[in-house]
Amino acid sequence: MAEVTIKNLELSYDKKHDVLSDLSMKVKNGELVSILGPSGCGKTTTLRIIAGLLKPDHGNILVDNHDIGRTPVYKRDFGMVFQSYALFPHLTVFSNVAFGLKMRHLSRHEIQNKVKQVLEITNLTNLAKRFPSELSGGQQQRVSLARAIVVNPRVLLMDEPLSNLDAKLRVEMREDIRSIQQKLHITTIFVTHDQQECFAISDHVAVMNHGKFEQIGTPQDIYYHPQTLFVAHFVGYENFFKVEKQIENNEYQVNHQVIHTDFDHSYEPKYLTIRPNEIDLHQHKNNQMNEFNGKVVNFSFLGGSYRYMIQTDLGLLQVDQNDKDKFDVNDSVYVSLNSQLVIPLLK
Amino acid sequence: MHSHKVLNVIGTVAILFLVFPLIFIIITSFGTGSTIEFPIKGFTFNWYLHILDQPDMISGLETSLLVSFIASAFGLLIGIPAVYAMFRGGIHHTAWFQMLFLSPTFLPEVVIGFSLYQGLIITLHWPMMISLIVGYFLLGFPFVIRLVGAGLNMMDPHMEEAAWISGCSRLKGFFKIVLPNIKSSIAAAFIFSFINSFNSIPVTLFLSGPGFNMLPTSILNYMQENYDPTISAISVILMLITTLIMMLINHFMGLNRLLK
Amino acid sequence: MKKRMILLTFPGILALLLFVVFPMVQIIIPTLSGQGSFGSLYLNFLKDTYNQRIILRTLWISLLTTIIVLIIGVPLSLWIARMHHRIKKILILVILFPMLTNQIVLNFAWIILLGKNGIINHVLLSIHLISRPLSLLYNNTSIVIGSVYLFIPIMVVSLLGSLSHLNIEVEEAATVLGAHPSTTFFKIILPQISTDILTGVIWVFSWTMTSYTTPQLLGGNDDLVMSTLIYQQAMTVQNWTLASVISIVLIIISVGCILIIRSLIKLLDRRVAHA
Ligand SMILES: Nc1ncnc2c1ncn2[C@@H]1O[C@H](COP(=O)(O)OP(=O)(O)OP(=O)(O)O)[C@@H](O)[C@H]1O
Ligand SMILES: [Mg+2]
Repeated sequence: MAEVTIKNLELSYDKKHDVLSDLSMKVKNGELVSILGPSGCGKTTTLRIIAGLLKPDHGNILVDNHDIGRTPVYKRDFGMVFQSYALFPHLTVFSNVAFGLKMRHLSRHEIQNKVKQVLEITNLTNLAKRFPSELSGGQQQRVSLARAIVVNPRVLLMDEPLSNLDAKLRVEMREDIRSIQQKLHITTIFVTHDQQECFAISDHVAVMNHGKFEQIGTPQDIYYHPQTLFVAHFVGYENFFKVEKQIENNEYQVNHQVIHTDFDHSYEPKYLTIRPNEIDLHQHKNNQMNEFNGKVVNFSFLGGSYRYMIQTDLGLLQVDQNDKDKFDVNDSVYVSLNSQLVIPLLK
Repeated sequence: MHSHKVLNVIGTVAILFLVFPLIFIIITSFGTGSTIEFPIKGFTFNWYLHILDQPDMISGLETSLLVSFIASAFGLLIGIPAVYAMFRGGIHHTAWFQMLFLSPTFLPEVVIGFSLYQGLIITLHWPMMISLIVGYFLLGFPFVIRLVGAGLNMMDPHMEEAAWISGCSRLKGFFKIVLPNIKSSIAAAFIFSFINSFNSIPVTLFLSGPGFNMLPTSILNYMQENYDPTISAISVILMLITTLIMMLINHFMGLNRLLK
Repeated sequence: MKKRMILLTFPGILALLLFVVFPMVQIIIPTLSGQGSFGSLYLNFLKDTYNQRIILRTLWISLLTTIIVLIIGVPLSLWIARMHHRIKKILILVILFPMLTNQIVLNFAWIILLGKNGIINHVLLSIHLISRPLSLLYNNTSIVIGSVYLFIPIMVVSLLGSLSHLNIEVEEAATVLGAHPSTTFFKIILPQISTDILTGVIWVFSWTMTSYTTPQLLGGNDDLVMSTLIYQQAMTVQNWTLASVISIVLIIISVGCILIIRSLIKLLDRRVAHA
């Protein structure tokens, strides 16, 4: 249990292109923080640097305010769950889990007890004598988790631990991970590219893009108040309006039209955005605020709702609408944007 | 992970251990002294020319190349049909066939040489040249079985079936579809049996004699009476042959594939 | 169809029957009857202390060679496997080169190095570490050195494939769990390649035991091993029956060793087969 601080990490594999640039973050004691980002953005690289498996070009890793840059990996007292699980193929489940305890020179008796306890938590008791190759994916994943937590690590690192599992198992396992993590109160950094997964289990989320953190915040923060185009896109916003100028405190000019908003006008947004399902679509003019005339260009069925592409004065809009009113291509429609749901993006 | 210091030291030392002896041979082959010396006092190509004055070595080299070539060709001729029948013919008990075909690998070379000497030369009175071809054939044959077998196993069997369906006879299909697809394995098998025969010493010693000189025997004879850089020079020639062989292997199958 | 297919194997079967089975039977038969009772030739051979010394020497040299090859070859393979792509390719060339080179050349290199007027003596003399040349050549040690030189590449080749396929994350997992690099080497890497190591051991051990050229060129005249004894009995003394007896004993011992190691591999197989 510890507090982890990442300070200004920089790294480039080939000394030309930065894979990570100026990465900073703080993970509080007992917190679970997810690093969320698309493939290749540098998540694994960050995690390996924290573990000490990779040396950064610049920057520091602090644990409880001590720089651990010079501590070799095997003395850091961390736990790590690898994407490939990385179980020891020549050792049984029991010995896999016991490995870290042996490295810590615990007595045979203590090892027995601790391993048994953890195998129980992870539901592996009857599989203790099996070899990794004799286990299913989900079981291997649990062994990998058990092996990492049994040593009661100061910090637990997990690199997409659920990515090899099927959808149902993923949901089960992520709940298990969350409950174990909370029960043992282990400071955890969890890497994933699955938005839902990370919202479901994290205290904080760090959204990563091209080796930088775009935004760090609670899952609700990230979902309801994305701050950048990238984050907004990542959490499901589809309609982006480039702000041309601020007309009045709460009015912004977009494509020669005016959009009224409700957010704090001291922001200086570059873009405005709104989710497809938060736009209201109707046949007749209602004389609401932010109401625009448009024409249906195209639609597709999403299951439960339709997604319409609508050409308006604001530009092409994507609007989700359940099937109560069904429109056809070329129908003339009105869209209205609820001013409370229009969100500012800083870049 | 950063490669460990201890590993670096052992690795470097081991590689030097493997390379240095050969480098010393090369250096000493250019020495001017009448015996092998190091460091060399002068530089000369004379020892290479001196090889040309050794008729035994020259004729030995020729026959060694010839006999190895014939034996390897025989290995392919007999081995490829057998491999094809074993892996594609639907024959049962292929394990037994394999055991028989690979049996020469389990016999010490000295014993192969000795038993052929007894069986072919003493009992059947076969000429040495034929016996030697047989001996070399035995050394190369397991390579044919192994390498061509592996090549055939990697080839998609449906390919051949597709050819039959398109109206190709089994025989024609073999030549048009199977052979082109396993040709690199065949080349590799040939090269390996060739170099193995060419380098073989005990079998050669048993099955050659006065009037029928092979390269290894002529070098060994020369070594018994002399300790001069001619031996280094002929060694360098042999190393050049190795280099050539390695280039061939690389060309036909890529050296990396050897390590799969 | 099947019948015609089987015809294709006939030339091969015929060749091996004629060239392997027939000659082997031919040398075995006289050793069985001989003078006296069944097997007496073998008993007499094995009872002789001179012969016992040769057998033990052969085994000892093979064992020592195998151990040294292991100690050098395993780390060397790991080192090569973890090298950058380009350097790795060059190193593989260095490893393969001796394997494809005539053994006369390889052994001759050690004659140059270890001989009375050899390079090592020359260096030691010139830095006054010794006053008279050491006799480094023509003894068991020189045979072992030559054999190690010959067989390190074999070990490397049998290990390199599986070492290159190891999942690095498994080692990293051990390190994160607190294992020192040396612990990782012995407890994580070695067990994963144990069967390949044993396969390499089979080759190195049995080939050292049966190799002729190295003991012939680097060994002393009084320090025969089984293969040189066979040649001596067959071609110099012309005692063919005895040569046959030794041949059979050599085959039995080497195949016996192979079988023992094989069964060891089988034992390990349960876990490694799935690895
Ligand atoms: N060993 C390496 N050498 C050179 N470049 C590398 C190396 N490892 C990763 N990279 C590059 O660094 C970038 C970040 O890689 P990283 O593995 O951290 O991505 P990731 O976010 O974990 O992606 P994924 O979700 O696909 O696992 C990628 O562009 C990748 O190509
Ligand atoms: Mg990754």
